[in-house]
Amino acid sequence: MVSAIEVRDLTKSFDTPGAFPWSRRAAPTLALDRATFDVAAGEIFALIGPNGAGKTTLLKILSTILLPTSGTARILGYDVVEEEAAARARLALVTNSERSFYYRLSGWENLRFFCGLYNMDAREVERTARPIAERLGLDEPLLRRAYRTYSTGTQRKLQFLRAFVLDTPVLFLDEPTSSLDPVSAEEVRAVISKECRDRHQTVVLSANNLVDVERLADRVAMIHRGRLEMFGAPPSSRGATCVRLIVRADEAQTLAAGERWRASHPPDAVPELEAEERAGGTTVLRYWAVDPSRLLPSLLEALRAAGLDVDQVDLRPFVLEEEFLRRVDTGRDEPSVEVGP
Amino acid sequence: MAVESVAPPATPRATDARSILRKVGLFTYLRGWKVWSSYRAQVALTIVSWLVPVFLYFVLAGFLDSSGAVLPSLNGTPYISFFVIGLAFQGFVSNLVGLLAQRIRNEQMMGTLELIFLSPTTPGGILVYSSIFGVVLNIIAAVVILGVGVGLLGVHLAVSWGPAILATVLLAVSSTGLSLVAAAFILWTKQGNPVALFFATFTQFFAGVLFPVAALPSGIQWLANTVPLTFGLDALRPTLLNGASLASVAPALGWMAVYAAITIPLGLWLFGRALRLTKIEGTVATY
Repeated sequence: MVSAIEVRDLTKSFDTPGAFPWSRRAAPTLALDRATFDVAAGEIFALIGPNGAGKTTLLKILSTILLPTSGTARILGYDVVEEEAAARARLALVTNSERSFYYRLSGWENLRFFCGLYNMDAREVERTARPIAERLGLDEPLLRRAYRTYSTGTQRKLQFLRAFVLDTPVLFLDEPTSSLDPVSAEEVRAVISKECRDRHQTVVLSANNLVDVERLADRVAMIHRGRLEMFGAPPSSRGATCVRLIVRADEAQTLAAGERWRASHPPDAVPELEAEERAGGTTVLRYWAVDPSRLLPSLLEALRAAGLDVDQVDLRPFVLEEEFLRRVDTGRDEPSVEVGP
Repeated sequence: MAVESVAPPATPRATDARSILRKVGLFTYLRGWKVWSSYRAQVALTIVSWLVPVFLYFVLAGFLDSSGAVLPSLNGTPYISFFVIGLAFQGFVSNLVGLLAQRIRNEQMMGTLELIFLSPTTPGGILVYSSIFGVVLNIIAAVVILGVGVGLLGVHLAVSWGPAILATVLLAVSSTGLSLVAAAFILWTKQGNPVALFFATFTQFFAGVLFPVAALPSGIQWLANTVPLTFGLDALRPTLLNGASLASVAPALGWMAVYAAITIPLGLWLFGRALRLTKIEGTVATY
């Protein structure tokens, strides 16, 4: 793999000032804890995690607008601290805030201004922007109107338009579809996918909407309490579906019955089982499979044979959400885990 | 996962003379004029704010004349001429000192500061481009005040153009360091600008704007020497009103040059420190 972004032991802690200069300071908050990963050139890499986990902190350090406490990060070989200007010239950031344009200027004027900061002239801006604007549903009359008249969705789309017009080799997207309705979100996903793939652009995106990750990302990492906890392709891209069974039994009984069922099959024919005890005397039993219904009848039969009742069976196509919930619930102290292929 | 090597760096668009001129245009016309002029009430009130003090002090001058009060050290200069020059350039310097801080504050409030600092345009370049529209506006304000003085209040100008222009440029340059210090404060603290506050209020009283420095109590006259405006007015009044030669105002020009040589590096250093602090604290985007 040819690496476009290299992150090594990247750590960020924030001092928490007291109410007054003489107040006792609270302990620093660790926002990012020794993050280490690479992103390949042309790859779309997603960061997921609970609110406050450190996703935006990581994106801002990579974008050079936040200094790390320790560790290094390189964009196309340029250190984001020591060679900040060179790194900055090769990246663009789409923030999750609508407050990133001049409200009194039109869409075109805003594009001309911000792209001019990257040494683009007006003609180049318009020539590059028109086809992308069309795909984003931003027509000419709209772009001639003042930014303050735009809906939230249109304001977000203009941010994407600016980023794609800049055509930098590296692009950071902070929650790309937040504030967008489902139709606009799908338009934006389609444009991100097409533009970034066509340009072989390296993208790091953070997302709370896991559909973005499922649809766009080649690989996904989870940040939880500042630590990167897993890497791999989004589960749905592996064609897998998560099957969840709510079993009326404790964890040990459920797992024992499940392992007996596995032992009755050739090892390659059955998936790993995971069990997690819940309050109320039930256990969630999970497995991941490309063809989930094939093994389900025999598993249900095995549980019934062990004297265990099954209250509920769920099949979840967007399994990243399942993985997310499981790790946020139970994986607080787990070390980083490689779950990808 | 195996990493072979770092990808070859893509080449960004180079900065050349055309792109610099383009940025001057973008910052001056789009960011400056178009945004400023779209707030019509602000435009009207700004023009009023240029004119009100002139007429206010015109009334005061009439009162002083009728009461027979005598101000020391005017060297025969009519008081109206004295304060018109003082007000024109005090406004010029005061606005200049607050200019960069105001630009930074505006960008913080609009949420655009982070994106501007994210661009390949250097922070120094951003400060220069951002200030051009404000400087032009300040020059217009000074010219309007002088025009009112000449056209309506009977101020008689006898300008020696070379020394007057040199004094104006040096006054602007020597105020830039303070402007950078003020911008550093705002970048870091977001609100509360002691430098601009100091200039907007105190300089009117002790920099020889409304009355000569010699009229101040002797214990605080030294304060006048801490601001470049005092030396600027010492050079501008004789060159604008009496056609004074370069040699006669050279000491004042020299002090302004010294002031600039000290405060500009200090301001740049403080601005760099403030930018670094905001990047450590993660507050570039906050306001």
